[in-house]
Amino acid sequence: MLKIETEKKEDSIWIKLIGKATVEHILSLKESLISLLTQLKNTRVEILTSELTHADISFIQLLASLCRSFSEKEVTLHFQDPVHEQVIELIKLLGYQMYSNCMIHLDNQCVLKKTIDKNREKNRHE
Amino acid sequence: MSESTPYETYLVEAAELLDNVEESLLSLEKNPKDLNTVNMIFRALHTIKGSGSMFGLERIVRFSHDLENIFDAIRKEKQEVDKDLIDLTLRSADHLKNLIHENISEEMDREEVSLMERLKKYLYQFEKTPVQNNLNQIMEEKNKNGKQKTYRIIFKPQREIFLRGINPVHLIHQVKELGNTLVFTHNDELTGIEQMNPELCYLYWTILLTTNKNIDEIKDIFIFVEDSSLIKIDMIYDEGMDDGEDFVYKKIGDILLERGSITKEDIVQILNEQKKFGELAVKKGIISSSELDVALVEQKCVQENKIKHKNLVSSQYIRVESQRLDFLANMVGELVTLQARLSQYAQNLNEGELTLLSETFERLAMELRDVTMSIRMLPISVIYKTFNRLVRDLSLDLKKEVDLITYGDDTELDKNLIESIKDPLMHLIRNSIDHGIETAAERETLGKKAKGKLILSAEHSGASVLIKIMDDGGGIKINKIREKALSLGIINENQTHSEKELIDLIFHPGFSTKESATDVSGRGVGMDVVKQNIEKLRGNIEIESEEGKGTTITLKLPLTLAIIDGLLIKVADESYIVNLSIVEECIEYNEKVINKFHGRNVFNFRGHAIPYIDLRELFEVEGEEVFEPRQVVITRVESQLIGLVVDKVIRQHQTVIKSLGRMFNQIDEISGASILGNGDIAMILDINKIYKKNQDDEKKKVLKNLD
Repeated sequence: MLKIETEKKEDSIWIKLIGKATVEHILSLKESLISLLTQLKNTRVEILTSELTHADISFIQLLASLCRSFSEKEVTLHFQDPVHEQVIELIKLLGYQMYSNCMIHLDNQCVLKKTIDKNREKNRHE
Repeated sequence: MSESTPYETYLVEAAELLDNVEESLLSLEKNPKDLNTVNMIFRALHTIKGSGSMFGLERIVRFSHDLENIFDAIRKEKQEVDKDLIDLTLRSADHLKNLIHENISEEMDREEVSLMERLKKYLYQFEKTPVQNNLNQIMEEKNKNGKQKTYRIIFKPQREIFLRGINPVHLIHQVKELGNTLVFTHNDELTGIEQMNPELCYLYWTILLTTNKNIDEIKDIFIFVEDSSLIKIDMIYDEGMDDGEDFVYKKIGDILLERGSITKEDIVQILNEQKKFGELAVKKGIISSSELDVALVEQKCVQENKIKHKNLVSSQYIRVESQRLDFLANMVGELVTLQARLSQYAQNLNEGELTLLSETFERLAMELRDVTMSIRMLPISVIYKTFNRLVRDLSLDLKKEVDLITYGDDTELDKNLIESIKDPLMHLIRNSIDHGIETAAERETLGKKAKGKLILSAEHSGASVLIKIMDDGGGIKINKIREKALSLGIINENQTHSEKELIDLIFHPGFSTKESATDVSGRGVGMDVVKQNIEKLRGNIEIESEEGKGTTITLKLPLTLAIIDGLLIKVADESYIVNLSIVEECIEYNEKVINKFHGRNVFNFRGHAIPYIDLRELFEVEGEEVFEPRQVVITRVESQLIGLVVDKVIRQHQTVIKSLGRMFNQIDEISGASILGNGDIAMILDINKIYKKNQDDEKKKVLKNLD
């Protein structure tokens, strides 16, 4: 089961995912994100993954696809800390840390790569 | 023809891997220090476990995990191989086979618990072994495992991979376990969220793997997706080829060209602009930024490894479903039949251009036939492997010591033939061990070595293959056979029989000289069935035996079951085919040289009296001969020359064998049929059966005359 909660903040929208972000539920997640996309323009979207129980490759792929759609609307995507461990591991395993530049994202940096870099920095300080 | 699902492929592959494990275990039993074999077993168990997890087969994963750990300990020399461990692993492999084939029962559950307990004991044992100095171990490992190589792996799964229950992450993870990796995701086929179907996979990967493993171990990981996915594995650096000189790896343009991302024309155009190549290629939209990333890192990775030579390795083998080969063989059969029709048509018309086309077509069809038949060939070692285990287990059960020696392991036979001879061979081996080879004590009393020898050999002989099963046991006791045959009423006391005729009585249904039945080879049931099965394959079986010294059983089989070179003959209006491999020569029939000898038809063939069979008489053909003079086809059956008197020898004929169906099962003299060029049907004669039937008929006639 995957539950999606959205909350509008002053300068951003928070999307909280609870449960399983896996291929079984990926179609419903896509539908929810599309309906959200129609309402957005020049916004910052924060994804909260800490309450996920499972995530798989289809979820990471959906986020990468979301990034493309967001870039056309000048919306930026971010991961809110703490990012779920499984999501971090998947992004690493799938090889997103190797991206040196990103033509989609506005600041020329892949959001998935940034998430891993941030996590690495955090671990280093701890 | 439906394609196998990855799960079905897994089941087939896992069963094959377990067969290899079994074979390796038997070899390890003889050479317990052979680390190559240990590594092979470890890798097979690792693949069974890893791929099993992909399909959620938890029971298989759990069970193979402990086995894998034990073999990991052996290869790290923390655990020694002993007989108990071999027994335990063989039983465990059997259990895994049952799990794979879903042969689950309460008994299997109990077996699993018992095996798991024994496996745990082993694990506990080596886990307690003090670990040596880590650094030394790492150094030893590095020295042992040889040079590092860097591979570029491009893995592009089929779009529906998620829907087929396969998680590409597991595969990438398994690649990572082999060494150091740099993994890239390619997003370029990914669209915006509105257009994409999130249940499909748009991502693909380039993985740079630096490892001491060979390419086959990498290929093993993708074994269940290789048919549906794009998998390209190239070795781009080999430490063993590095001469240590400074070296600059390929330019970005070269890498992109090699990967197929760019053309030579693109390179020339960009170079003309004299700017940074990669940036320009991205700017021009020829490649994506991720393509540039992957190329840059590859360049850096290999430069860091001081690459000197590239070594491209491409796939040499592909796996093909056997059904597809059967289909191909059938199609080739149809083509050969069509070619025969065309040849005949061209011959009738006698038109130059058509004749030339027909001859070229014939040559190509024959080449295609030979190639198709050759790809259906498998080495006989495929079934030899099974026999190692059989001999080992039987010897233990019967408390005999038997050494199995095989020769001609590479001898190739048609795959259908190999499948068909497995059971008869198994039966003959059982008989040899059960009835032939004596116990160690008996052998020593007889002055023989305690360990008996069982030799399996295979060799090609013309268009046939000879398979021999030889043992150095007690041999067949002729007197016992005679006594038994008399008591069963198969022969009577007045008859005289040669040694060979008496030995052949063991092919009589229900015949056995053994006092009591054993679990191993039963009570005489089987040798008749073995003979029937071999003859169904157009083969024959011969036994030679010397009392006290041993027995040799020879199976003579055709190389293939699908197409033969035949000799087309005519009797009255009917066409028949004789297998060309048994034809010695054809001569003209001459009434002056025919004779009767003890009531049998014989004729003088170069000073030798050889029996002959007139096919007109055999098939009870009425009417006068239309062909003059008639001809005699001299054939050789079981080392005996036999003449077949026919109306006319037509020509050689590529014979695509068609089975006749159940209606003709009772006609022993005919082993199949073939369609001729003009659409007529020709029956294929079984000369062996014809000769035997003829002999029986003549004997009956002689006995009747005596009465």
